[in-house]
Amino acid sequence: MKYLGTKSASSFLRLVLNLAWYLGIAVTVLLAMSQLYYFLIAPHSLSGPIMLQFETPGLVFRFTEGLTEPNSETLFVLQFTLVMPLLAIGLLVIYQLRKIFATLVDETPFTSNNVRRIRFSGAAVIAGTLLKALLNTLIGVYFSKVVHLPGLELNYNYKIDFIGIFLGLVILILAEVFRQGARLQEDQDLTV
Amino acid sequence: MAIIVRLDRVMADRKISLTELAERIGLTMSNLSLLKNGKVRAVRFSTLEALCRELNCQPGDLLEYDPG
Repeated sequence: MKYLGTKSASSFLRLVLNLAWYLGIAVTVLLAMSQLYYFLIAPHSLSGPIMLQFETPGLVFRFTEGLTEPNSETLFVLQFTLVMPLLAIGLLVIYQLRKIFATLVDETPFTSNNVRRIRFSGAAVIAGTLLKALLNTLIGVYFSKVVHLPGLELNYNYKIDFIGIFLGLVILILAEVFRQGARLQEDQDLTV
Repeated sequence: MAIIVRLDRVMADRKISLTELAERIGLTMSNLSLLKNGKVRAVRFSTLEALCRELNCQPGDLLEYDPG
């Protein structure tokens, strides 16, 4: 199997990343526009029976009774201060990966630009993991405030996904390995 | 850098052009030009050997150490 260059695994993954990039932008823009529309222009259009739903693997929890009136401002803040930055981080990482994979297709991976891109991706993975944990906690806080059912006690917690932190650190270390590679490549390029 | 490449001086003494020398030692014009202008980080022994052979000189004629 060919890993670098044209018609290789890298060029296939680059294609996938390009698709993810354009799809991600479209989803983010649509989500932002729909939220702005409902919040600023037509908040009344959200009237109807109140329902809250969340899923865990293999289970869907749906609350149709025992809910206090959802606060649209709270939902808006959750959407824009946490979900949007999370999406933005995801898009930035995809953008950096696209650039990195372009160099893999060109078979010039050891460049100082790639070192910077990989380091950025590692930091973004760590930041995204922490932000996701915060978002989960705030969703927990929100649920515990609006769901009131007899015999049901909802408590929120803050749990960090340590696999995400570990992955981020591995990526940061890989960036340092790439830095060494880029230095050796520069030496090689300047040797006649 | 403290090492100065004196290739231009030896080439002038031997009356050989950059193109001809590059062709004789099997180096690209751009790489030989970089070497002549001292813009390289290292020189392979094989390159040095080819230069000495074609220019009929010693490595010391091509490289000079300037402590200043």
